[in-house]
Amino acid sequence: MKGVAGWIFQRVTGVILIAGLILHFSTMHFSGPSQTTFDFVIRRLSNPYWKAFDICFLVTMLYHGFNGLWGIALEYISSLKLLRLSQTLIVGMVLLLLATGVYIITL
Amino acid sequence: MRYKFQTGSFAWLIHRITGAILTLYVFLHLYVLSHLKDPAQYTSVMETMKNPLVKLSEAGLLGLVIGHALNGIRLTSIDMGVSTKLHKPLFWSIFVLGGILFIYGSVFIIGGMR
Repeated sequence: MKGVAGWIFQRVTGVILIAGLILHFSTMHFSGPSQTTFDFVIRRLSNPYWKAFDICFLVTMLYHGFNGLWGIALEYISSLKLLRLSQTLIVGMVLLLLATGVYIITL
Repeated sequence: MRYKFQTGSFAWLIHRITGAILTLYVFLHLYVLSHLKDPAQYTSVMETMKNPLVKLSEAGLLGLVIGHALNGIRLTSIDMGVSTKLHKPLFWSIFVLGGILFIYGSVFIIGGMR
């Protein structure tokens, strides 16, 4: 996303991620040892609401994180060739993480 | 690019570094979770996560998350019109709040309650 819209969307996704992170941390990482066992994780992933949440959380995170990296690239890299290379790299990483994430969530 | 080391530019630089690390960390997070395809593999990976060094890294990671999230709230509030005169007190308030959250969270992680 270009210009002001991208800049605003970075803030909007940031705020969404804080809410998502609180939910993610409190259910998965800060509620005792039983929450990360195989059975628990699989049972949680079989719930469609959690599936939907996880996919939204992943997509929002990927946008926010890689849009941020792209912003850093834009600021530090002046060579058009290198910029194009970093763009390809970023798109590649997003697709890889998206595919891996969706694979895990829909296991 | 040069940074003048004042509270604001320091926070900005930290925001970029923590953001980049957190984004790349997702590779590791999803790699670990990809072992869910096999119960035995997943359980053995989870066993290695009990290593004290891993616990320490997790506490460090929590620190990065808290720093990035709270500084993000500060940046967004300034973007949305909170007076820039308040940016220093805002920085120190999130510093204290973040410190408390970090200590609380780290005690939980390293205390081995998971």
